[in-house]
Amino acid sequence: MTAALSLSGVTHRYGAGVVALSGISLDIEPGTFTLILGPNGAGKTTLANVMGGMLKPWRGEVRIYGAPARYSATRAFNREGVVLVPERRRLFYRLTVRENILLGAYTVKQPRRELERSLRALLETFPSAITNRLNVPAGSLSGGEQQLVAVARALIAKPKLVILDEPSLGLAPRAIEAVYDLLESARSGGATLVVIEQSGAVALRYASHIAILDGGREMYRGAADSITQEQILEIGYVGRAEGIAPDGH
Amino acid sequence: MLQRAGRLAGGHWRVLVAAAVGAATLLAIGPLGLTDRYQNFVITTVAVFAIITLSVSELAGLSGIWSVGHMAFVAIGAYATAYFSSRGLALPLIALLAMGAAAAVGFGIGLTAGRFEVLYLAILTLALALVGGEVIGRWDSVTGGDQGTPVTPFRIFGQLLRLDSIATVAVATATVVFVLVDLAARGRWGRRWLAIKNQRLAAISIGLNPTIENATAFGASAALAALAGVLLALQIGYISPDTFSLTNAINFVVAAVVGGVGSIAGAVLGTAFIVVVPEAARGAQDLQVIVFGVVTIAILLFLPEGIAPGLVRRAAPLLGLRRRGTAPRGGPAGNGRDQPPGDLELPPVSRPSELTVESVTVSFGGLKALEDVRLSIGPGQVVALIGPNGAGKTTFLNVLGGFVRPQKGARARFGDTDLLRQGAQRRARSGMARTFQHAELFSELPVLDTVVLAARARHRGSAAREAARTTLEALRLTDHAGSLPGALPFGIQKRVDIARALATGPSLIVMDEPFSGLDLAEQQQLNQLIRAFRKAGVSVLLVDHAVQQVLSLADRVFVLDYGRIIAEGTPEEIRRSDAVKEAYFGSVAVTA
Amino acid sequence: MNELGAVLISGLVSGATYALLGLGIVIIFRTTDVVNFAIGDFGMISVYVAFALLTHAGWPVVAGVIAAVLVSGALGVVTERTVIRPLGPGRTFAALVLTLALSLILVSVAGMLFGHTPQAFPVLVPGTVTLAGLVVAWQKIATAGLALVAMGVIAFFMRYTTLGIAMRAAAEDPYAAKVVGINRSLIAPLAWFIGCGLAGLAAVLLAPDATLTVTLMVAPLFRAFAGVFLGGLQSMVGAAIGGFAIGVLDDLAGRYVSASFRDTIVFGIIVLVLFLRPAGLLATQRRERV
Repeated sequence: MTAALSLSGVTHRYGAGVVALSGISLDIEPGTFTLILGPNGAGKTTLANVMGGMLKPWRGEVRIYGAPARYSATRAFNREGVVLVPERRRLFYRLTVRENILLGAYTVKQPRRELERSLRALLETFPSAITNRLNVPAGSLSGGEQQLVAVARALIAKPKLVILDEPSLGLAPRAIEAVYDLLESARSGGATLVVIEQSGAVALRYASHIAILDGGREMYRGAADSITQEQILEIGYVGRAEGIAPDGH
Repeated sequence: MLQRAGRLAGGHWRVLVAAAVGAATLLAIGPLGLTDRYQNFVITTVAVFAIITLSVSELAGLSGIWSVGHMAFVAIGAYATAYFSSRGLALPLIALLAMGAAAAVGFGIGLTAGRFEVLYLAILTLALALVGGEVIGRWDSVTGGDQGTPVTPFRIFGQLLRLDSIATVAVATATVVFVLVDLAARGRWGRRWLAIKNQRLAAISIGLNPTIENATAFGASAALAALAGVLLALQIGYISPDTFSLTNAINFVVAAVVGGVGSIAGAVLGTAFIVVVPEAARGAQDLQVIVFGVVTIAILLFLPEGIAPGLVRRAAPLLGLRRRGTAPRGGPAGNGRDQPPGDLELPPVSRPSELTVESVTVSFGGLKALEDVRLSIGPGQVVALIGPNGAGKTTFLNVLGGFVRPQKGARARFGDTDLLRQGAQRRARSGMARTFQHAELFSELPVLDTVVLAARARHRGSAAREAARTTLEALRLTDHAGSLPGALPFGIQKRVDIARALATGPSLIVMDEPFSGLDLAEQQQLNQLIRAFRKAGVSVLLVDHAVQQVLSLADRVFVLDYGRIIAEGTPEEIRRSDAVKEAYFGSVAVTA
Repeated sequence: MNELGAVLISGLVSGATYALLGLGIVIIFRTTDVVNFAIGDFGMISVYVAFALLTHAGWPVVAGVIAAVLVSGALGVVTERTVIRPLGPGRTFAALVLTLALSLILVSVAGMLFGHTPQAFPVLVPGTVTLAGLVVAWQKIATAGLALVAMGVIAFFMRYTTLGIAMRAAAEDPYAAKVVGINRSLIAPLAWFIGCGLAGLAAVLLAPDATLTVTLMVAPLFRAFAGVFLGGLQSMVGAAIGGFAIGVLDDLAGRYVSASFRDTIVFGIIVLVLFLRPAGLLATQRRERV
């Protein structure tokens, strides 16, 4: 089966010396939910930007469904159905909630009516706190609500692959679960998901695969149930523990 | 060492060239008599205008403040000369008066600089120019209104000042001004202003006061413009409002940008550009302006840094020169492991103090960022403050730094001082230093200059330089003393940041995410360094994500989540705390 | 009372043109970070073109107005493509100096092409009307009306069309705009077209009341900038309101305080406002909740 997204030997450095990613090779199979964990400075956001088409890596190859990815403009990624939910959400805070979500379909030429229909379908599961406030500036929503809107912006164009950079950042546990429930429904609708998190107890309950990133390298990869939370803590948060080999299966 | 030697030589070189150009010009117009009246007039214009361009350009280059209103200060100088010349005041006295008045006005405007973004401040100064124009037009008794006013010729040693001797005075004054400004720009003043321009927060953290420094810079620059105004009055002999038109005011901004912002040579070249291009195309009014405009645009597009720096950049490879601060061949010195700080001995701190913070609450628009936070650090203790992203760590740092005011009832004592009653920039002097997650070094200052600047928080004169050298040596940074931060690997940059904090002679160092972005070896070095701090009696507050590093170092740990302290204890206690696991890992305690 | 009414009306009418110019300045600044000092001169050139079409080619007035808008907008697009984009991002001050130089060039080119003799630009609508005892020229009503219609069209475009929403998005957060696939190389020239087109309209509305010279737009541009800084460089509504406010303030100050200290008074008020609200009256802060 062709991987939805395939990275091989991806290396990136910023300016003089700081290597953000070194030799990352990763295949994301269609229909999976991959959780990528790592502490601050592990290279997570760089990886998210590479996967989402925002940053052309210094070296290495990225393929979308087998075809080489084009970094000339993000539009290429969006048109291929690969969308990014960036770190800190990056909503347009002065635009309304509705405008924000509809902009997610900017690259898709779709009749307005059809778009409105997908919007209604998407919002069916949303809390009324959001559906009642579609015409207020997105900046006036709470953090959890904003994150839901950011995910909705990514889902409106029915993408094949969604990459989310720290969607639970700064959210209360209940809000995190709401975000992941929404993602889960997208996945059952056929979307492939890659979620990048700093800490991921909630995410782990939803994920099918897990990878751990540190110092720009992949420290571990496997099925989500191949590793315990305590071990993840050891690798990613409390430092590198002896006994768990990188890339161990 | 080589780099440093090159830098010093470079500095002297600039002064020597400025003096040589000045002297050569003086010879040409004076004893040698190589120039005719018209050429003398043009030379005088260039000399006088160059001072104005320099005042605009250096203010922008050193302080990041763009003034479109400097013509108002030139006008102060010119009209003061005209007014007092008829009342028999001596020329030097008039110059001093005018410069003092302009400096006072400039200082006042500079005080507000911190409030505005660059463009808004530019508009503010534009307003000054407009108001100046209208005042000139209406204040007939002094300015002669639209008619203008004559300047009574001065006598020097009984001789009437003629155009030739005025040219001499102008060129000599300009030369002295250029040499002095170059020395000041590369000296203490310039370093302070650059530091504030580059990293305002970091500059405050080593005790600089941006408001006063901006005002001083603006005042000094205004005084120079007024001095140019005095010379201008001598040169043209009759002052009318046209001289101070907005178009002329804008021309000096063009000269500064085209010549190269903050460049001494650029000020001369830029001025020559705005004087010579129109002179050369005399007679064809419209064509002349078109040429001027097209050349300006071409320079902006093809020499983005301006004429002088652009030419230097292009010529440097041909002459085999390497510009200061660029990376040596073969890329930057690898990974920052070249010279580990080994066994570090720091002199014991003179006055260990204790920090106690209680009842700190901060809300932003109803959202509580911090709630009833308390924390204490004993002398020589290493205390860690950990917590997930968004827990309120940054807000707490800002409260300690003096950038965010907590609600009533908060207490924060540091040694003998009540922190909450002390302005942000005074805190460095009471012995509190800070390092930054992204190092936040002053991008235009070499490492040594940065550390010397920090050492001035505690030391005066050459003692500061000495203290800086000791600090650099202790942190094994001596080899990088002459480098600009941009040329250094990130690991070294963070070490320079620590050196900057250390040089202020602190009894407490607050470190924001010191481990982030460091590799394993660098993290171990940092470990050693922090242990050395403890040994020397310097307290440390670590604010970080890297839980393991922090736990192995700290004497005491505070855990922050949702703005509250949810746990406090020894590292061992924290390691076992379920509350902490949950904060970091969501509901691990429930599901595991 | 009548006199005050007349002053207010003339202030509002000239304010409407400042508002158009200000709106143009803000649209260009928000999307491309460029303060365009040449915007007034694009308008001036386009008025000369319209003048030629009206007087020599005998075009109807409406066609002349439309031509002015299109010519000015096209000049904006050409400028963005040929000199602004090559300048590169993050060079706000260099871009400002560049547009100043461009302004000098345009004025001189206009001087060479059209001469320095003032021309009388025909009024768009002749005649006067008496409203509540005040005699008002139809030209003034047409000016205010057309300006308001243009502002309405811009408001509709920005609020309800996908392209307009995308423009606001790109102005607020270029990175996020790129994330959703908004192509900056399309948005930037569009902003310049709209912004400079508005300046063309402002110029063609101003021309009949003034005489047509190459310096036609110098004073109005100044007042438009004053309005922009009053309202905040980031706010389209602010620029429009600021423009009207400056128009009224300027005329009131000129009539009742001192005709010779107009600039001082107007800018004095702006400085005062800036001290109270350093980013302008209607400045909004970006909000992000955590």
